[in-house]
Amino acid sequence: MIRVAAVGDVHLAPDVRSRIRPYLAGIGEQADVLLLAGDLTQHGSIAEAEVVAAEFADLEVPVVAVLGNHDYQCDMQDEVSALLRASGITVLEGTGIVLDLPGGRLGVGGSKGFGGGFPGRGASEFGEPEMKAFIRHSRRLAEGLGEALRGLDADYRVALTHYAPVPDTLAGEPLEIYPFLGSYFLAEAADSAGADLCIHGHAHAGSETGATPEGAPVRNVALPVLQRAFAIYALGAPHAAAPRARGVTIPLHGNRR
Amino acid sequence: MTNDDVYIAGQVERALAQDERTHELGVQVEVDGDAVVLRGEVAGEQRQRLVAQVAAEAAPGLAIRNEVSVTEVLPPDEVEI
Repeated sequence: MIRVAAVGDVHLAPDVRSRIRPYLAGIGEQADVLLLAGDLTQHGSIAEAEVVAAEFADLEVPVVAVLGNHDYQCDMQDEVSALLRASGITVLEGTGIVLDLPGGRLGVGGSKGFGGGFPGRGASEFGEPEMKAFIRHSRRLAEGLGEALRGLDADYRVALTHYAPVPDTLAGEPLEIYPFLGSYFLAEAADSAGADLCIHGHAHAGSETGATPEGAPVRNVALPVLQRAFAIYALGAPHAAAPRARGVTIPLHGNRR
Repeated sequence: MTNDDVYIAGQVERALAQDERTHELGVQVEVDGDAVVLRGEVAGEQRQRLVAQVAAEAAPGLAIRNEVSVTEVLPPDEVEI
């Protein structure tokens, strides 16, 4: 069994620090890895990234992150990523990592992802250049996520994004803004690799649980949704309660391709 | 909300998202009579004060009713799925 701790949307800055840190002492007893689902900072400045680095430094477990839209606001996303990497955090964008953990090899593929919406209520690469660029950005990031996930030689695969892969975990948000909160391209990418779990943030007013069309559990770990320092999900637990999707019980297991 | 109120609410919402003192996208804005009502959650007390300040500057002459709260962070639960 692998225990995956996850939280997103911590929105740290010099005025908001130590939101999660008090609960990280002894995390090695509770979890095997910590995933951060983007919006680590409030507006993506170096000063804010330094607060993030300090918040998650020197933990007993590996820390793997993606950036969110807030981390792009200052146009310094590359510098923010470099600073986090220098402090020991793995930052993914169209890339993946395999962690050799006591419970098996955990593969994490990550991307910020982007919007565009969900089938029947989404946008296409059509019309004005701005509209094409919007959806092309979303499609390309999802393609990067899919390639990263499919390339992982691992017992379990987790898709880590900031934007949502399915509408289930947006329940609670206004329907009108769903196309700004996620894209089904991300679910398609995760399902193409047989991902065992999808973790995302971004939707502060959404809900925690959902599933992809292929039945992979989806969890929205935005801090305002969790209202706790992080959630812990078990992969491969012998008696884990299985999530339900479309009325069917979906067991969790590795290498579902 | 009257037609004018809708535009004022939009103006305040844009200010809260774009002003570098706030960059808050999750605050709901409604104009109720001569007051702007702010609802939602932010990450800290300074941000709770700043949303009211930025909203007041974006809607001069209107009172601000700040119902924004600070997200509470509780300890993690046990393992789940």
